[in-house]
Amino acid sequence: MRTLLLLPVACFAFLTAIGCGDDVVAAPDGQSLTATLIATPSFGIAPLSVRLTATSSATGARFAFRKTAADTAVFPDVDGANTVDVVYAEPGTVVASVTADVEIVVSAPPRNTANLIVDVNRDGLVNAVDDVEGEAIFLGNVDDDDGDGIRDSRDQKFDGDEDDMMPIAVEPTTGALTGRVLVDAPARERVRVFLGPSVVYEPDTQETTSFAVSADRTRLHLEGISGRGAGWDGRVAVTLELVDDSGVVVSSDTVRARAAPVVISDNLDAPRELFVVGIRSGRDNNAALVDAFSAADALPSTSALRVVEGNNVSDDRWIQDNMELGVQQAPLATSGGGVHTMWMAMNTERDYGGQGLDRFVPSIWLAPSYGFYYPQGDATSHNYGGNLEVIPALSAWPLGRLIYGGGRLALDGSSSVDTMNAAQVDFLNAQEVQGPALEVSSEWLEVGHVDEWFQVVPDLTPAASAKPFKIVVASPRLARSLTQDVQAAGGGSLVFFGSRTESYAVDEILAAPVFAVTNEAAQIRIDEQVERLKTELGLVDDDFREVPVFYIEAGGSLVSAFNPGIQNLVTMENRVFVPDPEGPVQDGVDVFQEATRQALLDTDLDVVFVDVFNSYHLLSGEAHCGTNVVREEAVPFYAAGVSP
Amino acid sequence: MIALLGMSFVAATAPLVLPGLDPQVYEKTRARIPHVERDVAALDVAALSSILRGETSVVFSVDKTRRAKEEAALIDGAVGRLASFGDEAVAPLMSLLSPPSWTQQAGHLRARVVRALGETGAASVVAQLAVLADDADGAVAAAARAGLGAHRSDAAVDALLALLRTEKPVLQASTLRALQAATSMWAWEAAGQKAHGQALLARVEAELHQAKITDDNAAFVRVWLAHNRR
Repeated sequence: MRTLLLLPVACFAFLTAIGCGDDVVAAPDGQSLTATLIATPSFGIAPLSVRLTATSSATGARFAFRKTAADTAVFPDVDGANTVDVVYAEPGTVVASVTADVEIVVSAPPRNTANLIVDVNRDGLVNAVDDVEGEAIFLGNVDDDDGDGIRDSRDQKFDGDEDDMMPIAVEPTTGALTGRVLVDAPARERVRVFLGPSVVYEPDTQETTSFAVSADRTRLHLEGISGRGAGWDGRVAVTLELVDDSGVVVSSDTVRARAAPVVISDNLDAPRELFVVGIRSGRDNNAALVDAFSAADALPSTSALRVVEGNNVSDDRWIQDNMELGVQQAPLATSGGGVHTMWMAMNTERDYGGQGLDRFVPSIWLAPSYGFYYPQGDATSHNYGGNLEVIPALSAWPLGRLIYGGGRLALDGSSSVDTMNAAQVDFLNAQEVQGPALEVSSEWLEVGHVDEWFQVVPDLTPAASAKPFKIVVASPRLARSLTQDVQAAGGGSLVFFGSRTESYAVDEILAAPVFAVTNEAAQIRIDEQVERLKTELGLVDDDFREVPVFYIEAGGSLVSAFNPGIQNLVTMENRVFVPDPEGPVQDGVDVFQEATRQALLDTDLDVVFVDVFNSYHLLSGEAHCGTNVVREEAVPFYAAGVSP
Repeated sequence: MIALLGMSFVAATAPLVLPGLDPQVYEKTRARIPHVERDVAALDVAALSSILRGETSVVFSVDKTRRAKEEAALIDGAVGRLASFGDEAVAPLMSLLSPPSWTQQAGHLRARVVRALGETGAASVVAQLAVLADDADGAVAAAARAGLGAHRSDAAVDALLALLRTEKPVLQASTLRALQAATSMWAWEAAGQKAHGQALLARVEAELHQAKITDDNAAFVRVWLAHNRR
């Protein structure tokens, strides 16, 4: 990139009273005097003719002028006069100084030279310091600011949403020139460029519309049609060509930018909105869960509860499944130092006949500052949001690392090949900043989700500041041990799910060989995955907390949680809403609940058990499966120490 | 219809409606496939065999994707229930190794039947499963190993150890999981045969130290052995 800015030239017109010091001098009669210097004009285009006029408080003063501070001789022809005419040939800023500084601004004349500037230093401002090599950031304009029900980038309207677009400064030019915008090949279908409300580059047709260049500084706006994804790393080069009357390109300039990644939120990020589908009637209503969230002070004051009416989504309650939430962020273009956040949903490929939550993201979620991407691909339960979690920030992953589930083997060795579809995995990995996404085993589970065996919670204790989280892991081993303890203490007839129609005695549970095979195999599979997380992420034993969960055969060779899956919880800052395991109650204490409290005791979390038995558990889900949380991203990716 | 479920369906003429196959029911859940275990829990060997041979018609969705799930669910549920009859189920199951034409899930049916042979616990199936463990269909071969694991007998363990010594690495993962299931100490304790289970496990562990374990399976074996030490 060539600079057309005026280089500052620090010069001094140096004014001296003969025979005396620089500013306060002695007059012939011995009185002191003060010299003042005036430049006329004090600004203009080079070459600039300036008359310097010196005056003093004393009569009879004589002056010697130096054009710059670096000059070693006075002007020979004007020695003793009080004016001098000077020509400054080079652009820059000249300071004449004796008793007062006089700033003289010398501007460069307009040139027929293209110059674009974008916010490469990512401070939200587009100015001279950005006129260097680098990449600015732009968002995919995939929210709906004008309320027309489609993503803003899908039409050619400017929409008035400058914040969602990246400004490109066009430096002034002269002459009868026209400008045209070109976009490099990889991005030709991915960005649109506006001049004011007019489109000057259209991705659908890949046509550019010429425009008259201006003698004033103007702005283009780049609109991202989509963000990083399979087949495009989000990088774009935008070129301005200046063309004369004969069609000859007299000058061109190119700037570069990159689409912001979608950063998937983790459970340490501050909650902003909690979504749950309200199922108002029937045996499987979820009033208990909604009531728990609605109770006074149940949620942080900065969080809002959003209850989606079940009637509007065919009572499809699995709002964890239809989307994965995160943000895309860029420097705020309209003020310095701010961050512009667009809350993002990755709309998952989920076949629900268009009647359930598969319509939620495009028709309910979509709003100003709420956008979405839709990677599509094959439908499988492994696509769902419950099968995608983020291990929070680690040294090698300042924004955390994505974990999803899949594999090829049921617990018993039978074939069970299933995983997230390639389009979604490619989309996630294309974001780069939290990847590559790590696949762990979940294909052995009935639904096939990682939240059927682990979940991340904050560790609020000061000692945990370096690694402020724990991974809560389902443990059949702990469940069995607790159950054996109950039996050993004479509680063999105590039951799981005591308030339900079907309950199971401790003796019955411990004497069931197939149940035991299932749980031992599940434990070994979980241990295997925990070892993998340790190896891949540098975690240690103390980073994990085991909670009691039994599994049971669930058709075919797959298994599901026998008691409500405790790890399938909802984190809202300092409080976790935990599925009530409904374990055996001995001496007035639910031993599974108590073990859970003990497991989380040193995290300072407030543990709230919620009844999800009929509303979720019997339908192969739990609390996490029925919720989704919009979270703030405290530090934008470009300030988080990740590669751009 | 529920009231009829206890009867034999060999002579039934009306299509069988299973509540678990109703999309209104199963699409409420998150399960990958529907469940019909409750629907078939009261059926006898003849009724189950009739369904699985396609002699009793069952109501499925018209939509192909749904129907595929529903057929798989019916197979899982009915075959699993059939296996619970033990020796009595072996012949009907063997007859399904050449799957009937009613289902598009013939591969799934065959693999599920093979695993179910092991679940019967019948002594006669071990030799057959050892043969099926080398089936050209990898899913069937894996199911045969799983079936041997579910059999949880000395003979099944012997067959699995023989496979471990000689088999192709691609199926070693299935063999190892089956061996783990067959020697599950939690299961042997639950069955009141802890000492027998310990002896069986010791024999398997000795063989494991001699076996060529592939890199893909090394972590599983390490974790399994560590678990056994706890």
